[in-house]
Amino acid sequence: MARVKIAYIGGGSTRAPGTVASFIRQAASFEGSEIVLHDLDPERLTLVRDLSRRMAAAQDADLTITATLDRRAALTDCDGVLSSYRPGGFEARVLDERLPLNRGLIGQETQGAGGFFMALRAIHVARGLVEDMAAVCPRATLFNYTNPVNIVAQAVADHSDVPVVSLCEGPIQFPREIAELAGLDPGLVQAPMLGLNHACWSDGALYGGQPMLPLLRKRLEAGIDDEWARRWIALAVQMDSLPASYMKYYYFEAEMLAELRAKGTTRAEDILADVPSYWAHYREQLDSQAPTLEPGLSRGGIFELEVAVDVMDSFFNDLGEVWPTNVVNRGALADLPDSLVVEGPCLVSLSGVRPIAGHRLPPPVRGLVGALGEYQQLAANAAWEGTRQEAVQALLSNPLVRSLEQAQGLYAELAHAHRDWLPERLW
Amino acid sequence: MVAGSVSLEVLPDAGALAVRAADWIARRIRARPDLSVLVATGNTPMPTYARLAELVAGGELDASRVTAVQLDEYLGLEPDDPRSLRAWMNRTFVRPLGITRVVPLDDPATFGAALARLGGLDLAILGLGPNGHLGFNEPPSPPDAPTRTLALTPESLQSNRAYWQGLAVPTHAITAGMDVILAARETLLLVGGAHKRDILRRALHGPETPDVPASFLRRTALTVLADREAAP
Repeated sequence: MARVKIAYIGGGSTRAPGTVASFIRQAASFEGSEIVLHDLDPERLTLVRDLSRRMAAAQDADLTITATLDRRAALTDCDGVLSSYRPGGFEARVLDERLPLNRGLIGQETQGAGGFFMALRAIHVARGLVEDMAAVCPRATLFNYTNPVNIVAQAVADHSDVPVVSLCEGPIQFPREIAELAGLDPGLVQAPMLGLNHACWSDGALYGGQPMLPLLRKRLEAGIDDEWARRWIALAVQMDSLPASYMKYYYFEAEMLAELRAKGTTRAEDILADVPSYWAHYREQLDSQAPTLEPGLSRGGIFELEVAVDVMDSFFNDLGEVWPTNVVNRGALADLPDSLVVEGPCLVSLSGVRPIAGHRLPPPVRGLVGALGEYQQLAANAAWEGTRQEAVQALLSNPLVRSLEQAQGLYAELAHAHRDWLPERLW
Repeated sequence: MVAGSVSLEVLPDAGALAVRAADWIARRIRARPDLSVLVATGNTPMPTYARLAELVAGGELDASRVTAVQLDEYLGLEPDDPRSLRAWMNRTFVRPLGITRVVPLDDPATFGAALARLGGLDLAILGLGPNGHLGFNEPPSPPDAPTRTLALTPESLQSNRAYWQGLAVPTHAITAGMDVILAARETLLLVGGAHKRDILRRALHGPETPDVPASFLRRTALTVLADREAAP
């Protein structure tokens, strides 16, 4: 099994204990490997390191877990880099969600103006990260979890030689969630999703080997009480394709806006309220003989999917498995530009992460996915090296913004609020 | 490095190519015993299939759960015609490997339905036509060319003549579509001999064009194994 060194950038985050727990559960695939945690916060970093070591010891995992505040030291001679960081923390995300909402626009972590500013901050850090990688681990692959994963991967792929693959559990989860909402068994669904991250569709969904859409249609006609379940399934039935849940912000924009406004707190405000209890739980487990992360008390996918670990397993152990990832298209998906980072099933082996060709986007959704692709490219360029004017152009190309005075006003406000996390050219 | 998703490996000669290719395929079968494989005929893959048969005969590989999918066929032949490509595939791949599941290529609709039931192709093993064709996807073939019947070009009639000493080459054929070939989860392209060097160079380094159907393979997770004479 592969003996590798992996740097985890963002290794002191609320999500890190869960991700390291996934590595530990699959430790047999990484026997003898080293995981170096890196973060900016020394106290949290030490806590995650100590908890990780304790979990590894309790499960007899042959993994060495270290931690450092020095990014170059963490990256030196790495085979792979896992990035999952949030510049400005959840406090910055609150602004991404709240400020657009104040102006009557969708405020969201990866979509609309909020997602755009998350991209600007994330890519500002990614630039330094890949510079460091080029200097001290030029052969390493970047496995990116930092949102918006598609825009981050686009910027790195376009502007550096670092091999990059972005990861998200969404393409696996969305079809299963739809099945569950329709009262079907999620285990029987087979539905490769294609398009862009958080903007993917599956027009060939099978349920137990039979077409799934007729089953959803029947379920819809019988009546679905839950409003959100009914909307999501109605969109699937109307388009004859399963959509990513994030499509609700586009096809139910007015309804979502009303919902977000009616709710007193944003998603990040809710998470922030829970953050102290996450750390309390981690500290408590540190003192226990056999630490266990309770899903309800931890952040992220505890005991759930951690696709990054599976993708690294298939990559470093040359398994040739198929996983949904985000990589440069290179012609695989004929409906989007060759140079665009697309999401879809990929073959993962030591030769790289390579998209499986031959799929097509369903015609009724090509327009919106195409527009989001144009936005993704403009946002990636603006974040990496663009001017403030180019940044506003990118924001204006976003289908959820698309209004000159709204975009200009919102840009000024968000850029000012996030000033500490943005390069001067974007102020 | 050719392109992001292409891996090119050059072997010293045809013998080494066969050993490497057979090991590569055997590894895929061991990882996924029910592998579905699109099987090219033609001269280049024959030593590879023979080597795979040795691995099976020697108990080093169990290929009994593999599904073999036919790539192309001439039209208008009797089933026992010596020119039948299915008979060729059965003779050199299916029977020697102990394979019991075969998806024949008789008509586009049943072929497409059978592939859908399989959940698509895991692997396409391909040779490279002298004009860049794949199966009987003759130039020009765009990437979305479907499974279809067609008239063979003079070049293909010429290159196929070598196989059938004295017998006429049938003029019409059916081929798995470019869409089917490009949608395989992984592609193995076997190329041998100096006469393939120029077309391999065009397939890997020239523009992507329907005039060289193999140029679209760069869109797939492609592994090229070439002997030294063919290496561009």
